[in-house]
Amino acid sequence: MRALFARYKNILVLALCLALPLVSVYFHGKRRTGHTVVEGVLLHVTGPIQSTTKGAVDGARGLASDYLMLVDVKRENHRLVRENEELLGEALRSRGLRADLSRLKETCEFREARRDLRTVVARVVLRDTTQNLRVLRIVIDATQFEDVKEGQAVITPAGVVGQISRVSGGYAEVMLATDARSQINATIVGKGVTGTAQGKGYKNEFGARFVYLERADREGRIERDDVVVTTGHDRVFPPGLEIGYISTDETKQTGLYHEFDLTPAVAFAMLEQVLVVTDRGGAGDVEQIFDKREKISGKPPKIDSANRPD
Amino acid sequence: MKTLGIWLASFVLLSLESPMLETLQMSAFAPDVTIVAALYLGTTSPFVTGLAAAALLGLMRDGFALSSPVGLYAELTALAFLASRSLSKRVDLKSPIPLMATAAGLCLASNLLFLVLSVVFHREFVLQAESFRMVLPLALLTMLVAPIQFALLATVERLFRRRRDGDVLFG
Repeated sequence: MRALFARYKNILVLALCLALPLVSVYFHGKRRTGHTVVEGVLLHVTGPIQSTTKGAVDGARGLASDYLMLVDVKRENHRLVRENEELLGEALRSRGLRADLSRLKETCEFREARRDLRTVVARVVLRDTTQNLRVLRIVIDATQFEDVKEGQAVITPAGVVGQISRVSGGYAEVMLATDARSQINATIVGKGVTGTAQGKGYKNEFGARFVYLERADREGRIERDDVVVTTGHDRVFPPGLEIGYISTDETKQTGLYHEFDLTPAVAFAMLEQVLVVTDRGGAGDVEQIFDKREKISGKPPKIDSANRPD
Repeated sequence: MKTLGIWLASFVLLSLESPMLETLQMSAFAPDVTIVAALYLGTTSPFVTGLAAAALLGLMRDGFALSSPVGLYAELTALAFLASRSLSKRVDLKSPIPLMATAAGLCLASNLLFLVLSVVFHREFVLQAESFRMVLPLALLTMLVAPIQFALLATVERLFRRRRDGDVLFG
């Protein structure tokens, strides 16, 4: 047997190596579902080898790109740093634009609600502050407006800012509502109390107070956060503009007069632009004006805690 | 042992071929490593071991390309070995030009035979013009790779032969 095999070895191996694959081709070439044992074994053998070689090639490529091919990395880095700086600048500009747009929207809504007033928009160019960063007065740029005069009311959609005390060379100095010289005829919304909003801003004091004569027939108790608005009777400030909010429930009595501390409605430190009232229409009902403004803006009155008296 | 070494080296080349070509984005241009290996085995190995090694290498290629019926590449590589064995007596395959021409011719014949066998045996095979279009470029590519692969396999053979000589010294 062994001798027979040795004699015909070449032919046997030839037949085997040609016939077996052909049979396999015939069998595996037929339409069928699933895979055969031979395919399964081949997959088990070649699969791990393929994944290993792929991993090795990918690893070599990664090594080359991460550690050797760094020619463009520095240039790309510089480019990205520049791009980042530009984008940061754009983001900051966008933020500023968004704040400007918000202010513009508020101003438009206010002007829509108060068509009885003729106003001009002026930019705040100077803020005079104390050591404690309290604003004492502001200066506005009125170069474009010929009808800005002394004594005119200066307001914002948030409320009363003050009154123009001096105009010189196209710039107007504004005496704020917290100034000691400031006196604005005012009323508390819904309480039927009329009095004067006076500034307290001298020496180390800052803020305002609402002074009124006690009346027996006033409606309801005066409480903290009650809104104080202009009456329009002083012929300077149009009616229905917010001056501030009652700061505390505590009242001080001086003779016949009662006094409440007042928090201004406007944050003077944040002012960028104001409205100067150059002309007024007919006086309207304060309550109606106040309600109408709230309806248009859709926002309740704001209370700025930064303005509360010390 | 020498034949085993050549087989192993060819197998490694076959394993690395696909991922490397993918990295270079040249997957469509794969030279026929098994045909060149069969050509080398035909010129250097004994009949039985060479034929078995060639058939086994073709079977491994079947494993890497399971879209075609198992045994197809084994058949083609075995036939390539036989062709190489008869050609080596007439052509000097140690010189680069005859080697390249023979490699290109074998590759061309192998690809055409692949198409014929696929049409005959593979029920799901669809013959397209694209299949014929790639036959010549692949043959040319194999022709270019053949001398390099031959040199590599010759180096592997020398390594295995040197080890055997060492055994003779100590044996």
